[in-house]
Amino acid sequence: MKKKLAFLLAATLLLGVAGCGAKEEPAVKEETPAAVEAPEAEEEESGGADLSGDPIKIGFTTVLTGDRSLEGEYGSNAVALVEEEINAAGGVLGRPIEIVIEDALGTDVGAVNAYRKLAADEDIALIIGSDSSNDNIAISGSVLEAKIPTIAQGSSPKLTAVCDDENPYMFQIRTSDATLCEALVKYAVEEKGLKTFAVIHDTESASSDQARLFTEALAKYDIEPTVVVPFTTGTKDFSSHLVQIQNTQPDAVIAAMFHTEAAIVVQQMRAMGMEMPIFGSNAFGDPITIGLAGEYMNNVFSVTAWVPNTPNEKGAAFSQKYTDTYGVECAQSAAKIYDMVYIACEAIERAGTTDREAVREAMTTIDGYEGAITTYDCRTNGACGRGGLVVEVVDKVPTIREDVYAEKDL
Amino acid sequence: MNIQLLVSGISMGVVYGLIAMGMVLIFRSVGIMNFAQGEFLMFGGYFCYTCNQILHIPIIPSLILASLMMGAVGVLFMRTSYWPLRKAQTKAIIVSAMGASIALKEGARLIWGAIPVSVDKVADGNVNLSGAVIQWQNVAIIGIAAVLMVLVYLLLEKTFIGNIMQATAQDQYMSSLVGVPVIVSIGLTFGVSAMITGIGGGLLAPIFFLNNTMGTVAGAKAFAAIVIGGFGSVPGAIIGGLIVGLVEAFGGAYISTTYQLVLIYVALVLVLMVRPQGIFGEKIQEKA
Amino acid sequence: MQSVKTKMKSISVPKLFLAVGVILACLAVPALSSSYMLRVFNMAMIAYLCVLSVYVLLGMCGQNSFAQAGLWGVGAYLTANAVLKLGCSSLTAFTISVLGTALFAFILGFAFFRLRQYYFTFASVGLMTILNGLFMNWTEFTGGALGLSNIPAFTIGGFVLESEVWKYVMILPICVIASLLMKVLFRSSMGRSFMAIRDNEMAANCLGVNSLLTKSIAFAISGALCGAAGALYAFLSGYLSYQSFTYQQSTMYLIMIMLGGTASPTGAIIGTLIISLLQEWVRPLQNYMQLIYGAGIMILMIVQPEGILGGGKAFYEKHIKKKKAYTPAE
Repeated sequence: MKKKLAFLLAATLLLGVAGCGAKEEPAVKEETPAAVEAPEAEEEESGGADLSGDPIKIGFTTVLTGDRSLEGEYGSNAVALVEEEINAAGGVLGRPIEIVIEDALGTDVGAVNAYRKLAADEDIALIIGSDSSNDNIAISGSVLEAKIPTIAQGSSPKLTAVCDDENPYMFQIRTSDATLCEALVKYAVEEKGLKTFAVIHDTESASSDQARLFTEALAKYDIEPTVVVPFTTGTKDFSSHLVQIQNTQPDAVIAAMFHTEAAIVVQQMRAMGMEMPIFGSNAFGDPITIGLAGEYMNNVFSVTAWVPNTPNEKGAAFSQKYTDTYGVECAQSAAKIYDMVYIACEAIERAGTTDREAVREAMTTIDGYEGAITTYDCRTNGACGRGGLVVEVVDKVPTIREDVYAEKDL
Repeated sequence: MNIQLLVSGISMGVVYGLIAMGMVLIFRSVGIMNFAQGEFLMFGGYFCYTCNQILHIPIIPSLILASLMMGAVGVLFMRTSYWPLRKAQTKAIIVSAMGASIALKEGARLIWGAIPVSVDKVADGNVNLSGAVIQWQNVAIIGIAAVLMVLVYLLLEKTFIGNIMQATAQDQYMSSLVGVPVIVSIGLTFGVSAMITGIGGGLLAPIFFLNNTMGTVAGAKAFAAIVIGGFGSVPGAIIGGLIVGLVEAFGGAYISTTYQLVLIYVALVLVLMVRPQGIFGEKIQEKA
Repeated sequence: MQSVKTKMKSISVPKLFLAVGVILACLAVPALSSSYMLRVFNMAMIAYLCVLSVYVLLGMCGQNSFAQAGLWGVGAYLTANAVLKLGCSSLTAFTISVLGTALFAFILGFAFFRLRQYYFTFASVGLMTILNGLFMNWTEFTGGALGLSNIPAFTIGGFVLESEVWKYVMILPICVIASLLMKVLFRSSMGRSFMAIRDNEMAANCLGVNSLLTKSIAFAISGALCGAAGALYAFLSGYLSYQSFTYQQSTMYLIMIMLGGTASPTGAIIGTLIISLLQEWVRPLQNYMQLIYGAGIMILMIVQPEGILGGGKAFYEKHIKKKKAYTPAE
């Protein structure tokens, strides 16, 4: 019995080696849970006989499995919705679109392998990279090699520099953290009249970068943070951090971190009787954090590109659709995929072909494109998203306090 | 400030000690480090979430139900990833547990999704102890952990089943000769270990929040607790947990928060250099 | 006499075929695979060097270390810094990485090998976590959490090994040389002292083996291998960040060698190939990929507790040899 099993495994492995080694791989049909859950939608799509010809393929790498799989869950859900929506509305260039998902695994090597696997498929016109500046910088070399227009999901200024100066094929379809962080500090200092700030941040790349930007923005007002306390992702008890903040008696706390940590920090701060306002990175305005921290979420401000109750028409429609389909509120991780896919389609539509070079050219003509989140200007590759929101969480609802918008310096 | 750090350090230390105790039970019984113990914590938390948030059962019965389910998971885990390899080299068992750990993590994500969730607290609100604040939930965790520790002690030392488990832990072959059903005994150990850790998961869920990777970091700190406290010793695991909690709190406040986790491991290396067997451990006899 | 000759013949012919087959396969890889699969093979070869380092420590010397990915990172960051900040040539940077990591491991070895057996393993887990913390936060050396980018590809005599095929051509010989060196080490007196320590440390001490020094040398050799792997990774990917050099990666090396078999470098090759390809091969499963991958590791280990090589040998001895023994009798 054991031996038979061993042989079976060995045989399947061999088959796998043969399959992987083959030069031309059959396209992997995507299998998101959404597609499984909504078979009627699938049928409709294939039955809607308007669309003819081979589908236009767009690649999408996201973290489906492993430690960062939160983004993949939203991403693959959003992709299923958008794909269906675009195909129902007549597709692109009269052809249906098909979004091919590969798992970036949440590591540099995984992101590169996923990207290269997609890039090896001749039919793919454009690729959307995974949601981390690290991953995007890691794939930059492969992008230059493959010469495929690629949408970078990270929002770090370092990635902006990569897109602008080094890699003409990468487009950062996000609002740069530099714009957002500055806007939040401006709001806190000018509107709220706060004088002293403490900074707490995750040492992981996005958050430490945001913390640096917050500190730089404060420096413009000649404000030094009273204390900067970094922590490692996965920290659960923040008392040693919060005690240090408490000792310096700041007017407010600036915080940069992800959802789980954000919820824990808010909860522990309020439990320790630290009632000062918290100005946080985008995670603090996200429905996930609000859902976790619940009633502790008061006097919390956040700068984000997206809230589920957005006034943007496209955004509100998508948010509603997402909630109806999946029963949870639409987080930023889903909304930005919506914009990215639409911009990809717009570029292909403008190019009139799926030729990669032509699509890249067409991409740089996109200017003033109104997405679900904000307005996009892709005339230069970096920081194409231009706007954001400063929100205050009131009764578990992110309420918009200020619109952020900046024209691109060319 | 120091009182606050002391209180937080102790309450976190108890948590690490609780997870570490589960690991130690398995180590004593079969002589291997269970690399999937953190996943037991996560699964326990999710079972509790299922009972409490989806089936709307009150939290205390939810915890008990989750713990019973975890007992079954522990036995199943033993049967699939340990038992077939019991005669193989230790490293093979470790690798199989690592594989199981990946599979469990991913399984949890497929069942419950990647969005972090929470469960009800056993007790709401905060206690103020002369300047230091601690959540009632933490107090409850310390209380329940103490009860569990006593129960484990009673089980191992005062009951027949416990004696069987201890006998198997000391010499599997010999105990099988005197008629101890080894598979039942080891299965029980894994079950009890998973139950303890699983309750921990349910208790931690409202203050740590649940996602499929919560076990990894907690498991890493519990591991440090075991090594510092002394390998294979139940009191050692608890003392080790407290030391880790205190190093974390005070080291974070006075040395560096950036390197908080690093500090714990520096402490681990230092303890190993000075006293390799840990504080309570017996030195493992080197075979001539 | 006659029988000995025929025996030798019967062994060497299949071995010859095997060697030719392996060489052909190595040549066929760049010809047959896409740039994606080629990158997978390149990464697998780099992982192989690290697994080889585990082989030296675990297979030969009997010491289990979970710090190998950390040493790999040290090598990678050394190369990146040498190239980017000191402006060294690629070859110099490679040498710095190999020697630097070896020295680093050698010195740490003296501290850590005061601990025996699994106490050393625990300490190595500590070392791994400490190194990962440094990679993430030490901005001057590692570029912080965002990492170091724009590391140029390997350049030799003005020729840039830019394309994936050239990278393959560069990495493969280094792996072959490393494997041959391991064979030499295996037969040297040093290698025999390693194995003496693995089998019985006390007896080895009695025979005059300085176990602390010997184990530190083993750690240094494993450091050199990891350093080489790190340098190659830096040249291959052009970007380094803390995400790559984690404890999980270290456990992956252990999984690889345990699945392949700890007895020889061949086991390391088999294990590395299986895990690297399994990881890519389960990709079409999308959401389920890591579930199946984890379960696959577990099942493989249960079916082949001695590793595939060990299991294969046992199978050969039990079934094929037996038959051969019977034939002359008939």
